[in-house]
Order: sequence, then C-alpha cells, then structure tokens
Amino acid sequence: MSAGAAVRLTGVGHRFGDLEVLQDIDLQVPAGRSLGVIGPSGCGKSTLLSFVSGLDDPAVGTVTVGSQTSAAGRLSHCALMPQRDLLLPWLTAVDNAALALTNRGLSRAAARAEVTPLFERFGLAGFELRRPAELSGGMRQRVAFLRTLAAAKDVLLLDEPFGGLDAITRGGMQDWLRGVLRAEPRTTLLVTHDVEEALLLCDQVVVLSGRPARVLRTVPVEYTAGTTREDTLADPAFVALRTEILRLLANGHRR
Amino acid sequence: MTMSTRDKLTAAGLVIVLIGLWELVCRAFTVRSYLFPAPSAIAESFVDNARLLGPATWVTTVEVVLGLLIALVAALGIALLLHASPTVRRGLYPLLIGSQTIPIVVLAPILVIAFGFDIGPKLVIVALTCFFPLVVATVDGLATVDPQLIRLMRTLDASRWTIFRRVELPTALPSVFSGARVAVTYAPIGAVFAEWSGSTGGLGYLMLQSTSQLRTALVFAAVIVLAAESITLFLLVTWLERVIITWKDKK
Repeated sequence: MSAGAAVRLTGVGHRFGDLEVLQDIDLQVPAGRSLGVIGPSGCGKSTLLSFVSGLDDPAVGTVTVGSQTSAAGRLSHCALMPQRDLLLPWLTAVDNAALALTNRGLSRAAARAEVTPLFERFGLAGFELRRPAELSGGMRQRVAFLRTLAAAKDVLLLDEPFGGLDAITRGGMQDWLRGVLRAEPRTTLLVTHDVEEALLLCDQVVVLSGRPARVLRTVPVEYTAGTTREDTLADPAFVALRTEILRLLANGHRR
Repeated sequence: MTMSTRDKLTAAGLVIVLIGLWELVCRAFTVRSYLFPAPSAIAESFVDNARLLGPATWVTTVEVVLGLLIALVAALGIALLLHASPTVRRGLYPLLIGSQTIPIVVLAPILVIAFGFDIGPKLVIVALTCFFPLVVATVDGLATVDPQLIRLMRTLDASRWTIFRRVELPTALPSVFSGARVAVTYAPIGAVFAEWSGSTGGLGYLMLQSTSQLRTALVFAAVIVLAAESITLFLLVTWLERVIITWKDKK
C-alpha cells in the first residue's frame, strides 16, 4: 500500500436545481497528507466527497486524484467511509471487511485470510464471524473502517465517520484512528463538523462557508500533542486553532 | 408467526369445541348427511374413500407445485425487468395491475377451451393466481434497497451483477417470502377452479362428482384435504424463510 496519490480540486462548483451548493472550490491534499473539511451542516461537504470519490461529477471544475480526472479513474483510487457504517446485515464482520476483495473476484477463503490479521490489530479479534447486529456501534464503525482500509486504495475519504456515535465512543474512535493514520500515513480527506476531530486527525483544515460553500480559509494544523487526549485538547496552540476555526465558522454563517 | 404454547392450546381447544358443537347439532336435529354431514360422517367418508382421495390429492398437488414454480420463475424474471428499467416499469406495471381485474373464474373456462383437459390449463391458471402477489412483493422488496449501499458498493469495486447479488437480492428476499406466503395459499384454490372448468381428475374434479351424487361428506373431506395442503405450503415457506434469512430477529 502506497502512501497515496495527491488530490486536487480546481474551480469546483455545483448546483442541485436552483440551489447552488458549491462555488469555486480550490483544494489540494499532497500525497500522504490529511486534510479536514469543516463547514456548517448542509453546506455540501458530503457532495464534495462524492466528487472526489468519483461517484458523481461536479457541474463545473476539475477533480484530479493521482493522475486521474475521469469519474471511473477516481473511483479506482478512492475508498469512502460513510457516516453510517452501512455494513451488510447478511454478511459476517469478516466478510463485510473483505467486501472489496471478494467484489474483485477473490475467493471468500483468500479474502478472509487477508483481512483476519487486521481484526487482531484493530481490537476485533474473536468477532470475525459475528453479524453486524451483534456488534456495538463502535465495533461496527471499526469494521466499516477496516473494510475501507482493506480496499487498499490510495486515498481515504471519511464522511463524518464517527457522527453516529455517542461522545465517549467517538473520542475513543478518534484516538484510535489518529494512531492508525500516524502508523500508516495516507492521503486522507476528512469531512466533519466536529472541529476537535479535524484538528486531532488532520495536517490541514479547510473551513467552508454556508451555502453556497466557498473556501473561507485553509488552516495549517500545528500544536504540541500531549500524552493524553485531555492534554492535547488543553494545549494552548490547539485551543487557539479551535477558537480561530469556530470564529471563522460563526462569521461565515452570519454572512 | 410466533404463537405461544398457550395461544396454540387455546386455538386447538376452540376448534375441538366447534367440531363438538357441529356434531351435537347434527345429531340433535337429525340433519340428513347429504344436506350437512356431521364431523363423524366426514371422518367415515375419509376412510371409505381413501382410494379416491389419494390419487385426487396427488393430481392437484402436482398442479399446485408446478404452477407455483412457473409463477415464481416468471414473477422473479418480470420483477427484475421492472426493477432494472424504469421505461419497462412505466409501461408494464399498469398493465399487470389491470390484468388483475379479470377474474380467474372467467379466465379458466376460456383457457380450457384453448388448451384442452390435460394439465396445461391448470398450470397456467395456478401460475396466474400466484404470479401477481409474487411480482408485487418482489418489486416492492427491490425498491427498498438503500441507495447509499449501492454507492458504497461502487466504491468497493463491485460490478452491477455483484451489487445485485450481494445487496439487492438479500434486501428483497424477506419481501419475496411475504409474497410467496400469499401465493401458496392461493395456489390450491387456483387449481380447484381450473379443475372445475374441465378435468378428469384432482380434488376439484372429485368435489364436482361428489356434489352431483349428493355425497356431501366426501365434498367436505376434499375441502379439508385442500385446506391442509394450503396450510402445509404456508408452513413450508415460513420454515424456508427462517432457514434462509438468518440475519433478522437476532440480537
């Protein structure tokens, strides 16, 4: 698995009928780096991800992933983790995690063999043969993330990955994902409305305005990570960044 | 279909009480057996006519099972077509619903004229009876597929066929089974209608013959066999659903 391909959006705009959702968006994520996209609810963040992933094409502008600009080309480079885990209830956890492999024609046994070691690493050992309904919310989300990783794509697209979890589980999952991304850096685009989540997980944060969304500012993320989550959250640089972004969001919303 | 033991006992008790009352009324008022046979007379007729009922049941069962299979294949095929193409759906769906306004009772004699007295028209009629609930249930089931799941599968390199096999089909299955439960209870009724319109064997044929000979107890016996067949098929489908759809009703 490579560190990833670079992602670049140039002059991307889109409208649904009369509703303009995105306006002249320019974004760049260097290969192996992570970018957080923050904006008010309903500003078109998820739409932006669907353009990067190649599921849809924007009305105007170009989206490049690696060297690919076509929708099909982008789709082959990107793995998307949706807000809801979207696990298939009729498959076991391990078969859900191995979906991309079996979809490509790998036998079930071979796919399971490839994914099973990941279960151990992600604290899911022993739950391989459980059905999603038998897992907790946090575990389901981890299986969904495993499924995204096992697809072995160059670019990770995370669409509010922990939005459906309670605050305590969400905090744990953020720490966990932070560790995973530290250990294996990949090009990552994280869409969220949780400022702390973006700061914890990303090298850079882009703040979008309300509809139609424009880029208000790109903020480099630099602070001293503490040994515990609480230390990090209390770091003065972290607090300053959080305040700056919240202020931008508030102003962008008022306009 | 979950009944507690107590519910089952209550239901069984009620049936026994009703049969007892029936027997009592027939005896108290000495109702003639050809007008309205007592349960005991029906039971007697069962034993006496086992050699008539056996082959007749076999003929009807073959018609029911084959007709059901034809309906299942046709319904799944058409439902997939309707699901895959919005154009076909707009054109064909109203026609399908319209076709249901023509009663099978009217259609049956015409089919017998066209296809003769052998098994052909029976299969067509049973299949027509079962086809509609199956199609509607399958189309509805396919329509409940979460579009987000399909988009997710596209990011996981799934082909159109893979998406159908792994997402759309399992989503639709519970609905298909609901349709099948309705269809299997209609199927024996369809077979009997077909036999009434012209036949040389089967439970429907036996009923017609016995009615004209005033062997009313035998008519009742045939009706009971027919009801038992419907219930058996219903339970079979319910069991099959429980075996296949293992991901529901689980903690």
